[in-house]
Amino acid sequence: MPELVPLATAVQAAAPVWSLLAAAILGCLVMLAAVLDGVLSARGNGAAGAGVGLRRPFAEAARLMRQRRRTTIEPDSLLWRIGGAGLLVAALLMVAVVPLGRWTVFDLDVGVVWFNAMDVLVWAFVWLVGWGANSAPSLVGGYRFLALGLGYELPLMFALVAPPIAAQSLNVGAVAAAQHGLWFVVWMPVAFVVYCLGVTAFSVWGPFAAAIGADLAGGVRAELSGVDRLVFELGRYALLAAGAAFAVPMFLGGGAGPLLPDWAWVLVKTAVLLAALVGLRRRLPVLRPDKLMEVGWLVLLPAVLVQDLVVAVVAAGRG
Amino acid sequence: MDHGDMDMDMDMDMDMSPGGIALAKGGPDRDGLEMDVLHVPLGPVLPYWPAGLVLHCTLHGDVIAAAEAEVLAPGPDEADQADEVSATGAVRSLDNVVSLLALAGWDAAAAEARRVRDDLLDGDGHAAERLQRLDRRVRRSVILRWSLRRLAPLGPDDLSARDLPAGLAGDTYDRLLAMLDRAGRGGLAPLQPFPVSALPDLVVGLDLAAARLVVAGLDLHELDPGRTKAQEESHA
Repeated sequence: MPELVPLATAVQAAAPVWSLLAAAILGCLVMLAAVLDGVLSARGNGAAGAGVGLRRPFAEAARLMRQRRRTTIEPDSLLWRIGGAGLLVAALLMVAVVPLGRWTVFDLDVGVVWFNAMDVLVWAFVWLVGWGANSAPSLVGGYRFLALGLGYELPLMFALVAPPIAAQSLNVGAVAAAQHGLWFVVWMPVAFVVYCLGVTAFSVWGPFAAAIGADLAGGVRAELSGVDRLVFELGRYALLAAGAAFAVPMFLGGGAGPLLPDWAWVLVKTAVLLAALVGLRRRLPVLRPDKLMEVGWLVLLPAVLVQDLVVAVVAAGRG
Repeated sequence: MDHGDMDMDMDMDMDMSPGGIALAKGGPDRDGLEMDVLHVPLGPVLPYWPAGLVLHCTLHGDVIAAAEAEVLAPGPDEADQADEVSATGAVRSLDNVVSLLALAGWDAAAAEARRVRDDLLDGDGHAAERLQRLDRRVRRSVILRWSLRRLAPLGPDDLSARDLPAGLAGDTYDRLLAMLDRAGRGGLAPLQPFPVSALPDLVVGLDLAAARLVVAGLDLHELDPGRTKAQEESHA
């Protein structure tokens, strides 16, 4: 009988040049998300035919690239640009630990913690975008994001703890491999839901978009224009795509599935989850930050802690 | 730039003025902290905002500590324009519903309300049932209720003290439902002009975003500028 190769060693680190491929895949996912959002918006606004919605993201990108840059009096330019560009960088770093089938760019022993660190960096970047503009609505938007962060970050951290407890490892490849047989989403549904809410929140998307709300004249993106605005919007979509991609090895079984090769399954699962998250934006009103704090601390945090307890008991019972 | 430099030289031993704008001074706020005091005017032209209304706010942080409202007079061409679109009260209420839903961040419902408003303007027969569907959708939303509950509640004595119409009773969520009811009844004349002097009382103590939601929820069809400060002073 041939020896079965332990699945934990099935993921290998690829040469650094393959990070360009990771960036290209992230770019394709961003385009997919933007096009889907455009189609849904166009249909919601009553435009006939799908052509308008499909063209809108590209038309908007072209318009922003041509647009003349606006600035305010005495902005803190360095911090402002760092904040705007930082979102894209954080998303790329997040995607670097997601295994595409059997290869990954960073095979870190603590990949889960790396992802969490990157999503905490987003706090700094969004606030810096609000601060740098030297404008009242912009700064208020930045502080709104911090208030939202107080509501979602702890539940997200505890939700990220659950799969490593069950897999007994912080390595992302090991967590993906530990799901052969039963995906984690089946017996950790609370952690999965809280994780998805956390991803939507750190992408400043959907019901957690108070920081860029229309009631603040656009919030942190009130004074952004031209290329800076384009980079900020790309960063938001990229964070959403990176979060959706990370959910695949954590909760959705990694590359497991019949017929297609594992890298194809990773892409398919990412695309499906990304489409679901993008669809949330128009359907739900925006949550006020103080409400999210109430919900986050009184409902989500206890629920996730109970979930972690259940997972720990099961893992201890098995091991 | 030169002006800024000259300011710096003159104020060397007093305050700094980067770019020619003085730094914000501190002032005590409602919690006893010392917050920077900013003077921010809202309006006269903002998305989902009554045109011509200017609200000069004094902000402590993001909370409005004091406000003054004024209405800018229409330009010289306005008087000549006949009312090409005689919008009824129902259509104007729907317009304010669109503003409130868009400010609350619910794009799908705001787009739906905009389509119903356009259908009502065109005299489309399906407008009534679409409006009912929108009404049911708005009532079902828990998140919208959370966001708008307890924002600027007005009891009957508050209304009579400030000389406001009775239809504005309740908090912003109740006013939203009342606007939808008014739109459903159709064919009504536009509401009485709203006295702009009552506006500052309603927004003091709220943060910027909440103030915008409250103003959108007041269903302002027309604004009554009332007496300007100069007229009040000349009468005193």
